[in-house]
Amino acid sequence: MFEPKTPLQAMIQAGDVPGVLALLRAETPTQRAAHRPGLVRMVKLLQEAGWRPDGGDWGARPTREQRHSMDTAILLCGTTTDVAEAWVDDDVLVSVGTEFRPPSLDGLADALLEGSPLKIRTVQRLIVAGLAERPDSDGYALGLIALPQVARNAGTLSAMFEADPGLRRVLPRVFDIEGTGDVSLSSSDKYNHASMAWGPILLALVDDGLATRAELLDRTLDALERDWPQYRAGWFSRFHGELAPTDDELRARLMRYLALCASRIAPTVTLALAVLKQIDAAEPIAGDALLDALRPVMASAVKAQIEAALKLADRVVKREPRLAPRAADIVAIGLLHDAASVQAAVLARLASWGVDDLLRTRLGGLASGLAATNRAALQTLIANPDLGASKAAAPAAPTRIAANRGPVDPTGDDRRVAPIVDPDELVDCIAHVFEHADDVENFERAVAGLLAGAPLADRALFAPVLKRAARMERLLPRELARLLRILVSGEAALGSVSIDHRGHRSPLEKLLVGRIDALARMSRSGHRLEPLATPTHRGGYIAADLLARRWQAYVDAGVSPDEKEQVHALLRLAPAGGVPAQVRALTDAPFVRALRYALADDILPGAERVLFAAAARIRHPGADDAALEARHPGLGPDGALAARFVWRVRTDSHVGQGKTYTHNHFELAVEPRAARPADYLPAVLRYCTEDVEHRYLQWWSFAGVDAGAIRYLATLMPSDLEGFFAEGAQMVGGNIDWWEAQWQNRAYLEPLLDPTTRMGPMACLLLALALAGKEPGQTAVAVDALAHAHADGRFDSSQLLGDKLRALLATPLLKAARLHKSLQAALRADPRIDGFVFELLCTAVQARPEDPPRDMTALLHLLLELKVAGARNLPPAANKAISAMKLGGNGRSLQRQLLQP
Amino acid sequence: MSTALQTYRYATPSSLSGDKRPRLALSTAVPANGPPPRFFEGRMLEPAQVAVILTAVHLVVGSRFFTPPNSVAKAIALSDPVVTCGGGVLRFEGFSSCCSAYVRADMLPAAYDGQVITKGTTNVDFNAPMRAALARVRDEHGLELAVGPDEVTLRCGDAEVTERQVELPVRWIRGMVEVQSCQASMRRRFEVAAPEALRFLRTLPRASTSRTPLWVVPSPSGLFTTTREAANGVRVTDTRRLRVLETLLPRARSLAVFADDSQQASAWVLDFGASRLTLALSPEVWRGFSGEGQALRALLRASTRSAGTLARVRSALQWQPRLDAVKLSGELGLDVDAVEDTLRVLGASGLAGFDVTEGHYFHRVLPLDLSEVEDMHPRLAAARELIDAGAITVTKLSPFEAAVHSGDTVHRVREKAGALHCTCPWFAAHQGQRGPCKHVLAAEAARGY
Repeated sequence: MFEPKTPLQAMIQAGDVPGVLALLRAETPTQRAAHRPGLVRMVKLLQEAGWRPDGGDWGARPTREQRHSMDTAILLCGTTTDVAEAWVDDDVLVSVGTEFRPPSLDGLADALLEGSPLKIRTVQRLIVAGLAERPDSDGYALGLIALPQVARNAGTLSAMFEADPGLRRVLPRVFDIEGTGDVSLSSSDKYNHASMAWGPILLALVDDGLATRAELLDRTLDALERDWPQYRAGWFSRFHGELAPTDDELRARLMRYLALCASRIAPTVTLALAVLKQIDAAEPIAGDALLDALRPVMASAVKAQIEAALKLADRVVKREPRLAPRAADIVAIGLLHDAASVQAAVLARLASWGVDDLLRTRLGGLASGLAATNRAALQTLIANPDLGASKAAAPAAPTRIAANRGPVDPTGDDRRVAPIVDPDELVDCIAHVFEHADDVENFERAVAGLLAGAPLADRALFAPVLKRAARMERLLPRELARLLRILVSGEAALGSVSIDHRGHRSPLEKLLVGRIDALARMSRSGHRLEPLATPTHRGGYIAADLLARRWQAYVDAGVSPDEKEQVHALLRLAPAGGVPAQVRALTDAPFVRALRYALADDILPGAERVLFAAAARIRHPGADDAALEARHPGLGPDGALAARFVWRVRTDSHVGQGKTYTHNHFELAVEPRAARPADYLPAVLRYCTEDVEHRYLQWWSFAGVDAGAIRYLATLMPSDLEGFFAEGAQMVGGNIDWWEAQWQNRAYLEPLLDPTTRMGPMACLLLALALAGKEPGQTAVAVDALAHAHADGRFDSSQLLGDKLRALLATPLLKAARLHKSLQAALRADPRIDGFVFELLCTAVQARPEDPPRDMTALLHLLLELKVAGARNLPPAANKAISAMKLGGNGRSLQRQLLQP
Repeated sequence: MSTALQTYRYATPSSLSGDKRPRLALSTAVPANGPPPRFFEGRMLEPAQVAVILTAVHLVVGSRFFTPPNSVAKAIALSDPVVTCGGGVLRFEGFSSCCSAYVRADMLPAAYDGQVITKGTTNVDFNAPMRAALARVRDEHGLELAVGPDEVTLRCGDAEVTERQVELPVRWIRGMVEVQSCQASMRRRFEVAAPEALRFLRTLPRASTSRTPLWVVPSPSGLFTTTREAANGVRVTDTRRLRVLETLLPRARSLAVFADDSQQASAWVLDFGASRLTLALSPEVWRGFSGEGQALRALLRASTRSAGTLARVRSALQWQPRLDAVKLSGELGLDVDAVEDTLRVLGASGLAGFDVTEGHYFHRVLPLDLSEVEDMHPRLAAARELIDAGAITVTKLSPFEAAVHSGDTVHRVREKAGALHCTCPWFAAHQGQRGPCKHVLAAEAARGY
């Protein structure tokens, strides 16, 4: 607790402002400076007390008088930096500063702005009061940009301009700096009221004779030439439009506009092209110069820019036909654009302007990525079909995954998880899990290694990992560390479960914490056995014969494993296509009967419903178990009856500040609905979080927000991941536009890449959603999943995924343009998928034919490309849907081409 | 020390003058005593190409692809590029302010018609107005290039010098030297024609992919990306860093891609015929090149060799654009391994750069005061402390095992499949991909390499 050591400190603590002032008035500057060290500490205490509920070491929330006293004292006794960092009240700065003119005011304006541009308000107070010179720094320019933000309304901003007559004169300084993520001209206009937009503020300078149009135009071009990031540079393009330069003003700066065509910022190039068009219309630009300027534009990725450049080139060639060969040479690079319409436009120019031998050879090198619909036109141009097929510096063919038929056997030898037998390897593995919190496989290996035969008494062996064990925070390393501390150090390390902001405990964490507790109890009772549910194969699978061997070891040791562990083992059982001899040889026991039931042996479900419910999920993956339902009815989804999923997209909108905001919610429900079961049924529990009615509002899904936990969930019942994918669809679909950075959701997509995974309805739903997601990393995983699942032969047909795409495209949730990009990426990754994508598109385009979703033309483009490239015909249903579409312009042309037989 | 103060002094800003006969005058840094060096005077044979290449260097230097969460997002260029002139090659090197992208433009003798006046390395002023003017360069107007002041200016000599000081983060300096070692570990993975490369770059997402490593893979139908590790691919994160190549590719012939065997960093080289542009990317955008530890073993081994080896190799550098270890070993009568190690050490000391296309080091002296950086290689220093403290106990010779006493913990270093493994968190996290940990380094020293 703070104890004052000097009378000044005591006065500050007492909030005695007059006392502080009187004391410091009586002191010399040297005497005041001697107070500084103690005051700096007090400033920190007061700042901390301001946000700590208990007031920290200050003891309570500081009073206004205490703050006022502190501000006064630090202003008079501290340095410039001390004052800048002390958040001194503006009124104190002005009143006390005016009376004392302390040395701390020297350079204070720049020091304040260095800390935050939002301090411009304070700086302006100092300037108006004559306590500071107007800075000429970039920090001040940044502060000027922040003026609307700190003023909050137009009235206050006007008052600031009136209070400081020199302020408006320096406003053009805002052109000189790029700004920051928080403070830039773009963000100022975006987030402040329109009455404080920067355009009118700056144009008013011209009206008032404080700046000239030429100055503003030149400064705008200066800024555009610097190629600042697009978001920030975009403001200058817009301001250029507001300035509306005359033809003469533009012509005088022709060279600058020509140079702006080489900008890497798309809006800047668009602006330059529009201006060049205007200048050229008023008075023709020299053809050579204009064509040269268009060269980089033709390599642009923006379709509209290439089209604008082609039109300008048309004008040049029309005026100066001698430039046709040069124009042809320049526009040829436009063939690299992926839009077939752009390629067609370029080819039309080339046909019209002529192609010389040099260009003909070059065109051969550009042919490889040309749209199928344009290949004939190119071949006509180059008059040599062989050139069109040539590929420059074609790299070696990569190894492709051979086309397989269906999911692979999860218990193949190449998928075996090697148990840890070497104590040193165990330590390495534990250290690895501590640093790789999502690695479920090694987590399970390490847990098994600790329980099965590790020299637990050898503390020195585990010393390197024990040292860090108490500091583990993420779920898997935390639980492994807890087991380590219990077994090796003998600590009574209790498990903890995360709680979300609504007070719900993470369901999966509860499950895992319980499992580790049970395993620790078994080990402490002196039994050194591998956990029954440790996966034997990748993906969390347990091979039936190895499980039988493991059970026999328990029997031989006279140990009965925890029933929950038995349930987990059964849920992880890999389908075996029969009952292996090792299982048949086991002595009868409830677990053994459940195991045989799971392996489709000809027996009836027993009385032990938790064991048989788990076994039923293996015996009837994704299907109902009528026999179990008859014996143990009402267990819930994925109990005796398989879970059924129903999804919808709900749209709501509201109006705020004159704008309409629309939100699309992806909602998924599971049937049959169930209350939290009394028994330990993990498969059922996945659908029964604590607050069933309000689940969609909850932070927690079953797995929560930790990628390691999600991966662990995937190993809970690996032979049927439909429930897992349903949860993934809910999480990915609920964040499709990346409102929140939910990086962990990628873990839901990873099993789609596993060659053992069957592409069922929920897998397809998740994949369809993820293919249209906004976050590029997550989408890239989905693209890989699509390509791999196809190459593995894991899609029964294209129908299931196509239906999901069609259903989602019929809602406002899915953006066709994103789906188009993803499908193109999949085609690049594996061209053999073209037929499958064609079929997908044929189904997907049937969504709302009477009112096609936005960007449907992108999908139609791709469909046309695949139709022509593969010489395919549209199926009748697709033909009918496309015929019914009401499209305009480019879409209608596409429609016509698609409907041609 | 987290930063080192670097002073840039220029007599005049670099500028491009003359519309009809443009002349690009690049201002070299003024040393503490004496005039600024005058490296080159001549005519560039492909002006527009040179302009876009120099623009790319400026862009990378001014880029910040990652801002640490606790930092103010001020996009500032921390350091001016470095120009090296030697053996007829003009090289411009730069490093992004986030330390994740290194760029070097090499103008080969066929790129110019001019005269190399002096050999050496120094900083060169690149400024925004100059870069804006570069966009106006046209082939038909030609381009005169001067690196360093002309003779008249040199004779006047008393022009006012503009001084600018920046605080360079130590991780930036470490990265700038470490990137040379990283490149030395790389090998060519694939090469594609420029049109295909451009087509591919356009397919890359515009948003950051820093959280998702992508493998760029060649195939008969072109390059594509995948999130799956691909043996014939190259790993890259945050593909926004590659976008700087997009404006260059229409003028380039081909793109060659290099990567090391552990798929950490990569180098992307554009071939323009008479010029080359190398863009080296760190493994993660937030990580930079510092801490890659590629040269640590060489540095440790070098400390056990006689100082004469280093001095002899260093004296043979002579601003050569191609330092061939075999040739040098023959000339100096030294072991090839020792010369290779020494070149690596020189690279890690800022005294040599690495040309990944040629596969050789070249001589250049980084104009940074590295003596102010107390601790360029903290892991190496820590390993030396362990060795000096006698903290290593070799418990087994084959396969090798040692106990390393580090603080209050004893870490075990063990040989597995020919490589040394350690129980420390660094090794567990990186599995040796970011160079050896201090315990492995110390154990290797105890074993005697």
